[in-house]
Amino acid sequence: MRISFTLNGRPAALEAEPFERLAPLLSSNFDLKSVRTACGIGRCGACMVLVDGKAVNACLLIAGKVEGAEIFTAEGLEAVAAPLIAALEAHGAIQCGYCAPGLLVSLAASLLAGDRVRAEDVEATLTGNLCRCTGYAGIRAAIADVFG
Amino acid sequence: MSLRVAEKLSGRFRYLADDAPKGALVGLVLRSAHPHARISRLDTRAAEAVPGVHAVVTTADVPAGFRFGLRLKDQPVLADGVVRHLGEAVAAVAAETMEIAAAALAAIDVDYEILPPVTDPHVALGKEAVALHDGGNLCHAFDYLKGDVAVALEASAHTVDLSLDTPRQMHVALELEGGVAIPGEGDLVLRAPAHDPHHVRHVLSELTGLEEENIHVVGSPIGGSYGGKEDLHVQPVLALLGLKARRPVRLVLSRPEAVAAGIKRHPFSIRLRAGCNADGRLTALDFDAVADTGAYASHGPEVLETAMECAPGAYDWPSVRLAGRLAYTNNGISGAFRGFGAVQTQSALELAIDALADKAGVDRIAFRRLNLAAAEGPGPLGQTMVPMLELEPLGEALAALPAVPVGRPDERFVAGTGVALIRKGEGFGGGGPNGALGRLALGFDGRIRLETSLTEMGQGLEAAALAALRQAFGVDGRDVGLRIGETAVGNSGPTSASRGTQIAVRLVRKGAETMRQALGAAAARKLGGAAEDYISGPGGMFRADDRRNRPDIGFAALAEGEDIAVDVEIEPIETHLDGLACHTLFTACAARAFILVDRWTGRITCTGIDVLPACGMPLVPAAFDGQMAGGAAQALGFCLTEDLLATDGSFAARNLDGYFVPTIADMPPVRIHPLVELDARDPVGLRGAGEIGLNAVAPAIACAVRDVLGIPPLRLPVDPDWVLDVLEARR
Ligand code: FES
Ligand code: FES
Repeated sequence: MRISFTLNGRPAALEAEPFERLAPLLSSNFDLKSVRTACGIGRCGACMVLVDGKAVNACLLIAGKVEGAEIFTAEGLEAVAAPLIAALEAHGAIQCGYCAPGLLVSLAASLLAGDRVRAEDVEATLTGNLCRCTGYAGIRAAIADVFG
Repeated sequence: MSLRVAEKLSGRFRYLADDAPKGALVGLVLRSAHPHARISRLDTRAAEAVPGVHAVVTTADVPAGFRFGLRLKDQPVLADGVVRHLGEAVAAVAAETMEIAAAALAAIDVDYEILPPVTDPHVALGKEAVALHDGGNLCHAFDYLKGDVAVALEASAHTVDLSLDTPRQMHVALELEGGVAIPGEGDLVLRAPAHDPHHVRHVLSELTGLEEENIHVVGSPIGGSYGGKEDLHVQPVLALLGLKARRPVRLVLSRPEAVAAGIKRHPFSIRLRAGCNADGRLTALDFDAVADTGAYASHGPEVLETAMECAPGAYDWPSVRLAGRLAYTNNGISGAFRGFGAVQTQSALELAIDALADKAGVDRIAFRRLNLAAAEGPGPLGQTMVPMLELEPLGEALAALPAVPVGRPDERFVAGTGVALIRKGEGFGGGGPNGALGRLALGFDGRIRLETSLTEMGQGLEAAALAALRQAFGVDGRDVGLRIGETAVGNSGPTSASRGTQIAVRLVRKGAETMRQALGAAAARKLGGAAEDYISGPGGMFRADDRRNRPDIGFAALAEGEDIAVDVEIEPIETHLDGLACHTLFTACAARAFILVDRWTGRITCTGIDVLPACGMPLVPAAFDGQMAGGAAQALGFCLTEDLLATDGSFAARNLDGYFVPTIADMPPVRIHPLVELDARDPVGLRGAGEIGLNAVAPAIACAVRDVLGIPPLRLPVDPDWVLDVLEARR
């Protein structure tokens, strides 16, 4: 079936079975390499996308659910997430970077949720974003800067 | 810290398997569902006949008897009549789409004659065990003896007996093993994450018959490795598929494939006996370890050697017996993992040190300081070594760490503290590839660049090398550049054993003087005068006696028509000791860990970690701190949550469910207190930061568990049920 939605602010559509998983569809149909299937079962967060303002594991989300939705991937969040990117860079929060787009999507969800979000709450939203390199120290420091 | 952070966050940064040429085929691997079996029939005709399939490869496409490995070459590219571990590659296909590739895999006909798996490394080494390799199941042995341990233990005022089993820890790099093969007319380009592109090229040359100069390997950047991508992974199969199909092929493993077939940390089973005098001086150490390398050696022999060299720790023992055995089993494959065997033996030893200190009635840090090995050596195996004056200052710094409130000890939670002080050899033991070639060159883009085959995997090698270039030539960021991680540049050896960043920086420093002269000479040719009249600075060359704001000639103009380059070689520091592999250069580190044990659930939370690395002055402090914090997180997993359990050669987890990598919620604050002074005579002047934090933090956490429970854990990760049993028994 044909599924239509907005992707990074532009109208988009793809042909897929309704039960197909969104992550591989996004990365192959739109060349969005930020959507990475590193486990495929919702455990690592490498595939995070923003669907109607919420961070979602695209490896679990089925295509049929996103008809009419507003989807952002990390590629489309660079401008709004600029303060986050600056803080993460300043704190050396990223090493290999494979987790980074998923992390940015999760953090952007908090950023877009408004000014009421506290640093502790932001940290709590990141338990689904595994980072094997950094021990999360720089990520924490960046969260404290932006949300503290 | 790494470069290109914004690119990485926004997904614009590309890893090696992200892109493939147009029309690239999809590679898929057929893997054994049995840990041990004989292949009685393998028929690929139906698969080859599937429309859209361009290549099917089996062991028939590999030169007869071909094996790869580091020191011990024992691993076939595709199963050669026998499968020895779950997920072993049996055949592979390259097809136009994933669906076609999957259909072709399903059409491959394999009959297995199932064999009983050898799963217990102790049993594997027994006389009755089925031999998994021609030479039997003893993959490697390590023995060292100094003095009469039995007599010394007998005469000791205090002794402890201790055993410790350590986990099959999984690397869980988020980037899965994968790559792209691009065959040409008589040549091959292979892009896949690698620690040592030149080694990969060498193996591929032997496998395919192509000359090395006709193979180009790109191994950088890497989306996380920790040693898991140090050995060859998909490269041999990719090369076979690409050459047979005569089309580019992209092959990326799925997580279940990586869990089943990827490299893991060696589980160790350790038994030791140690003693000290009434005044707390160590007397003797008797240390046995059996490690499980699984089906193939991979880096197992080197891991065992490093483990045993680190077993005596940073201490002075009048007598020592070390016996290490590495067994083949059908439990997957174990290989290189940050901490490299040492973290296993160091954890056991530091637990024993605490137990002896308690028996002798000496403060645990004071006990360590009392027994530190002499700064001038000899090393742990009696070898000559580069002096390490940093051990005593580390002990002092550990003792001087401020007390930290331990959280909320109450009726439910009980708090404990552990410390550790360790050292670990850096680079490779005697005869390993410690030397390195590199090159400094001025490019036509006006950048002074370092060329090295070392690779970037997030450890910050690029950032450190660029910082070193800026320092060495007094220039700006826009004046420096890199070409790294590929076989088109000189062989700098493996990016492993904590040596990569250290070597990159040393290449820059070593070549800097000659390069400065070459730059000066070029300026003199272009502007007149002598080479000495010019010095490099931001943007180009300046007259030394008349320093203006703007260079007299910019670097790009300087490079025109010139070939300004300097080859640099770092000679290895060699140690030879009666055939025992050992190190000359050591890195020291101390750590302190705080934990809370939940009396109701037996669960352990880590509430704070201090790391005291003695690595010299960090070049890029954020990158250095990142290595320490990242290592601490992997140490925490090793001690508290991570183990890929195996039953009959099959793993308990197939993906990341049922295997617990620490999340942000599991990580306490990590405080880093670097000791930046190394001995003035130190010929290297800095140490690698990649492993040492992990090596110190794991024993500190293990010791904190003993601090709370009064007895050392018998296995890591610590099982909450065992904690409850111990607490129950103590009441
Ligand atoms: S790939 Fe979706 S959570 Fe891991
Ligand atoms: S930076 Fe490597 S996984 Fe997070």
